Formats: sequence, structure tokens, C-alpha cells
Amino acid sequence: MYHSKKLHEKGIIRNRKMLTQSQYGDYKFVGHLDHIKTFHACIKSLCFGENGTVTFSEEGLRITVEQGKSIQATLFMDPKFFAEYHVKDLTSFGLKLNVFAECLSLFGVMDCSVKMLYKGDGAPLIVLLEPHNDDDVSTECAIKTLHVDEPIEYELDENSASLNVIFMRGPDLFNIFNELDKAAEELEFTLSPQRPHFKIATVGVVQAESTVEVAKSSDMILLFNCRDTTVARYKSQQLRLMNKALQAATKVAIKTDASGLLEMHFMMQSGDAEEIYVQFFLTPLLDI
Amino acid sequence: MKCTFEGSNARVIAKAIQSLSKVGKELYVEVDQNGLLLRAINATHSAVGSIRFKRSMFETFNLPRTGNADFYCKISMKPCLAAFRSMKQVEHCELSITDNQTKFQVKLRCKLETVRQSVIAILDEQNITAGVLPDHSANVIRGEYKLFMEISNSFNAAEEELTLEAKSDSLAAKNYIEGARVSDRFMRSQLKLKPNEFTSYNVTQDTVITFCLKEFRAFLLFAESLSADMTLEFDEPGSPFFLKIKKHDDIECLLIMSTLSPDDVSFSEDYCQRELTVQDAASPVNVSKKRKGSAPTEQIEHKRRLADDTTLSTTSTDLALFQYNGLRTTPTNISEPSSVQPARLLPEGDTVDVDDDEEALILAAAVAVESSQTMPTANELLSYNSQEAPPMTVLAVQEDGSDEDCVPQSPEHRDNVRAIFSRCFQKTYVPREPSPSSQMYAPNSDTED
Repeated sequence: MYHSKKLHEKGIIRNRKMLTQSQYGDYKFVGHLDHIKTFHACIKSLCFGENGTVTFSEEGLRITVEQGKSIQATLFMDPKFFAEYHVKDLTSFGLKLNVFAECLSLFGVMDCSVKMLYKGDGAPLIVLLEPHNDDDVSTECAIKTLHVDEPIEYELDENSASLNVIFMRGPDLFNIFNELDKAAEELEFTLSPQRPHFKIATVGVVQAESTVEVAKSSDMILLFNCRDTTVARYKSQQLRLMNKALQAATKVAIKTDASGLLEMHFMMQSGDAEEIYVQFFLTPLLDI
Repeated sequence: MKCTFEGSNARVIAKAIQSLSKVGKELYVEVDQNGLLLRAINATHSAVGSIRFKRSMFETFNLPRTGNADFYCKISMKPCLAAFRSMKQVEHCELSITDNQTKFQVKLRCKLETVRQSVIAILDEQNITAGVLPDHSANVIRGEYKLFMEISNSFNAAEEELTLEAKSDSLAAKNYIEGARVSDRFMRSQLKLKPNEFTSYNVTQDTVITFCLKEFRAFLLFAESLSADMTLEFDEPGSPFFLKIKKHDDIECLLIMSTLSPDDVSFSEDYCQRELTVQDAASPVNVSKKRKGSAPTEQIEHKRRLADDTTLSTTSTDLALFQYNGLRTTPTNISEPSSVQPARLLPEGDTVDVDDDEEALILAAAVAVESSQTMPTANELLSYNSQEAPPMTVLAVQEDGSDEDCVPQSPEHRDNVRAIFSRCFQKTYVPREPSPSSQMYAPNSDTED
């Protein structure tokens, strides 16, 4: 590998094993990103859980995080997002996401390019960071990988008669979430083809209840496709875990059906047209 | 009841609620023929703030359909604040009473076809009225909010009370220091204003009043958001103090605050008495030295900072903050030092009777303690004096001549050393104070003392 060879010549990398003679011959996965910013924001939005499951395949990179069986977040990156993307066969391993996020932030706000390398079962994930405006510095981190269980698969039935889908502008939804009463323990989401088209109500505040309604004709709603009225409640504490993703998102898709399972897609756009998706699944609170 | 108004007025009402939330934990809403009235009372019932919005502010204004025309209720402040929290996007607002008069509903129509609605439970059908009404107070002062802002900002945010000393030719604002508060750490600030700073200034009776800053600041905030003038009305200490804000006949605010009664152990009283004696003593040089001496632990840096403050506020407008400099240059203000000698304010009974020998011993100990603390030496003090206040004696002579009315008596003579450690030599000095647990095991062998 050209990059680490250079480092080796400079004496920065001592370990010869890190060098590859042929083009990534030994590696199960090699990914190169020119700009780290959006990727870093996405990883940070997943940091609510400790361990993430990283999966590489021909379709792209996936990182899944769970917290307590009721909230799950998955990051999707298309191979097109990478400047280089080589994968041998489907591999998956566990990773401490906090550590990964910390490694990515080693250069602070400086724009970096990042290269990720993984040799295979038991090997560490190697992260190489190179700032764009400083050729003399680069970092290499080796992060231990773990064995993890397969995450739970959540899915909404695409053919359900009650499947409701709304696409919204990210910053506007962020404002709405931000203005909700922080004291509320639960939030009730109502999606309906009639008025109120999209409504969030706070539940559990003493002496007060508040609601926010958005009409489907509003400019912040990009697509409104509701078949039936669905009402479900979610823990506001868990919804707040989405805040970081929501803050970085340019577009958000909200999907739910009669079961109440809430699926939110956050689209993060970096300078060019390519997107990273972060998908959240949130299970509803039971009606008692 | 139902009233609607547009976004910019909604923002004003939001500001009003924010200001009232600093006064009390509950909001009293009253609707009558003339408009909407919001009120709050503080926990100790010493301040009532009310803000009236006239009917002209509203697009529609429907009184309740019930027999009695007036409607009033009490709601909790917290959800109300939450409802009016972010007002940037609001285009239209509707207030109504729903659910058989048990709920207060706020409906905010925002940009991007968003509707925010809050329903707040009505706690009680209760109303408050203040027993006093502002009729013709002896003293009426009116000025721009900026001026009062300046006064309020000149004092530490932690200060709880403010004393206004109004005379027909000047107004002095100072922080209030409780009579018995004995601490080396406190700072005395005073701001002196001339009547021509105010839009109108009518003080018929010299008054020294002390009131709470918290509510004053809350209403000041509202005046700032309206950029309106403020009017202060007050009589003698102990009687209520009124603060009025009025904007285009649409909004009228009234804050009624109780003031400190002169019967209480208050600084204003002590202050007045002391004023006589010290003003009698008025050689400014002496005064300034006494002042230094009275706060021996204050360090030069601290004083420098004060001095900086002074210059700051004097440059920003033509207000004069009478700190150390001001004190020396304006002998009308000589009363200052009294306030910085808290030990003297202790009741006589508190002092310990000791015979001369013992007293001398303890004094020596006290002096040692005091001097071991970081404090300016006599030299430093002198140089400081000469830097900060050049022609003191000359000035004093002039002023004495011009101020014949209250010619002070000659001061007690004190030599330099004594002036520096003056607190130790005061009659009412409590020797126990610096180290209450100190015990004397051997007599003093130092013959100099």
C-alpha cells in the first residue's frame, strides 16, 4: 500500500505487517473517504450505544447500534460514497463506537481524508487519518474488533394498509423537536390523511399539554403519503437519542403503520450529491 | 373568552410573561372591557407586577359570554413560559378559555403552516388586587430605560437590594448593605446622577428608599424590549414604590414594591446618622484614609478594579460612579465611609469590656493578624492616593467654602498608622472578631504597644 509504505520509509510505522505489497491483497475491506466531516457526524449520532455491529458487503457499509431492544439505529453508506471501496466477502464485526468516533476526531475540525482497513477475523480495524492542509502529519489508529450477536431485524410491512410515509426537511423538523416541552416524558405522534396531518403531542407534563401540528401542504413537507390514521406514543428520552442525527440531516423520512413501530430515515448530504443514511427504529409504548 | 392578535404583539406578550415569571410562580390573567391584564405576585407578597394590554392590541376580543363581564383566573407560570418560549416563527396567536372555563388555551400559528397549541390547566379562579394605588407620590422620576439599565448594570448581579437616595438636586443609587453584615469582602458602590439625566425629575422631599432589585430588573427587561420610558414614584421609606412603563397607550405596566421600613435595622438610618458626624469630620484626605483603613483586607488590585469600573461608567455616559475617586473629589458625598465600617454598626452591647492591658494585648494580636494578610503597606497606600486623587486638600478647602450649609466639625485626629488599622482602634471594635477562638497564653512582651 502506497500510503503506509511512505509512512514506513519515514519510520512512522515500524510494523512491517501493516504494509501491503500488492493492492490490498490481504485485506477483507479497504475503504477510502476524501472528507471525513459527514461520516464523523453520522458516527457521532450512533454513539448512544456502546457497541456497534459493522458489516461490509458489496452493497456498502452498515453500522448498527442498539439500546435495550427498543431503539435501533443503522448507518448505511453506499460504495459510491467512498473514493475507494474494496471488499472481499461479507464480513461483520463489533466495534466500540465511542472509540471509533474519538479516533475520527483526532484532528479536531480540520478536514481529513480517512482510510479504513480490515484484515479479517480478530484483526483490528485500522484507521488512517490525513489532514488535507498538512502533509507532514497523519495518524494511524488500530481499534480492537469484537464478536457480537446479530442485531434484531425490524421491518415495516411495505404493503400494509396503514403504512404512512412523510418526507420532511431536516432543519425544520429539528426546530419542531427542539421546541417541544423538555419536561414531557412521552410524545404522541399522530399521522393522518385528514387534519391534523402530522401532530406531536407532549404527555406527562403537570398542568399542561401542548401539541404541534404541521399541515401536509406546508413547505417543510416534501412528500406526504398517509393511508390511515396512526397514533402511537414513544419515550421522549429515546426520541432525543435521534437528535444528533436529526441535527445533521438534510431530509428526514418518517414511516409508521398501525403497529406503531416508528422508522425514521435521516439523510446526510455532504458537498457532493452522495448521501449517508441513518435509519432509526423505535418501538412504541404500549397503550394501557 | 377569546382574543386573537398577530405575531409581533404575541412576541410582546411573550416578553411580558417572561418578565412576570421573574416576579412570581403563578400568572393571574384577567380579562375585562379594557383588555387583557397579566399579573404576578412574588412569594413574600412584597412585589406585585401587572401588565395591561389594551383592546387596541388585539384583532378580535370577545369577553366571556357569562353574566359577569370580567373573567379572571390563576395559572401556573411554568407551562405558560414553555408555551411562549420560541416566538420567532409565530405569525398569529389566539388565547381562549375552553373546557367549561377550566383550561387556558394558547394557539400559536407559525410559519410553514405549523400550529402550536398549549392547554394549561386553570389552578384557581382567583385574582389579586393591590391595596395601594399610585396616586400622587411626592417624588416622580422619569427616564429612558437605558438610564435605568445603566444604573442596574452598575451593580453586582448578586446584589439583592438597591438604595435610592433622592434629593431635589441629585439622585444617588447605592447597593444596600444590611446594618449588621460584617464582612471584609463586601463592596460598596454608589452611582450619582444629576436631574438633567432624566426626562423629568421631580423630587419634592428628600428620601432614602431601599427596594428589591430582582423585580426591578425583571421589569427593566420588559421596558427594554419595548424601548419605553420608565417612571419611578415613591414617598418616604416604608411606603410603596411604583414603577410604571407605558407604551403608546397600548401597554401599561405597574410594578408595586414594598420598600424597607425605616424602623428596621437598615443602612439608610445608620447612614443618615453617620452622615452628620462624618460630614462634620469632612476633611476628604482623612476620609479617604479612613476608608482605606476600614477595609484592610482589600487589596490594591481590588481597588484598581474598582477604579476601572469608575472610569468605565463615567466614559459610557455622563453618569458619575462615586467610588474612591468620586469620594475625594466631591465632599458632598463624604457620608460614604460610614458604610464601609461595619464593625461600628455593631450594637454597643456586643463589645467586650476589657481592661487596658488586655485590650492592648488583643489589639497587638489583631494587628499582627491583619498585617499578615496581604494588604497594602502605608507607602503603597500613599502612592496610590497620590496617583488617584491629586489635589485633594485644595479641593476640599474650596468645597468647604462653597458648602457652608453643612460645615462639618473638625475630625478626630488620627495619625497615619492608626488610620491604616483604624478598625482595630474603633471604640466598638470587637476584638474577638478576627479569630474568635484565639486564646492568650502569655502576656505581651512587646513594650512598644
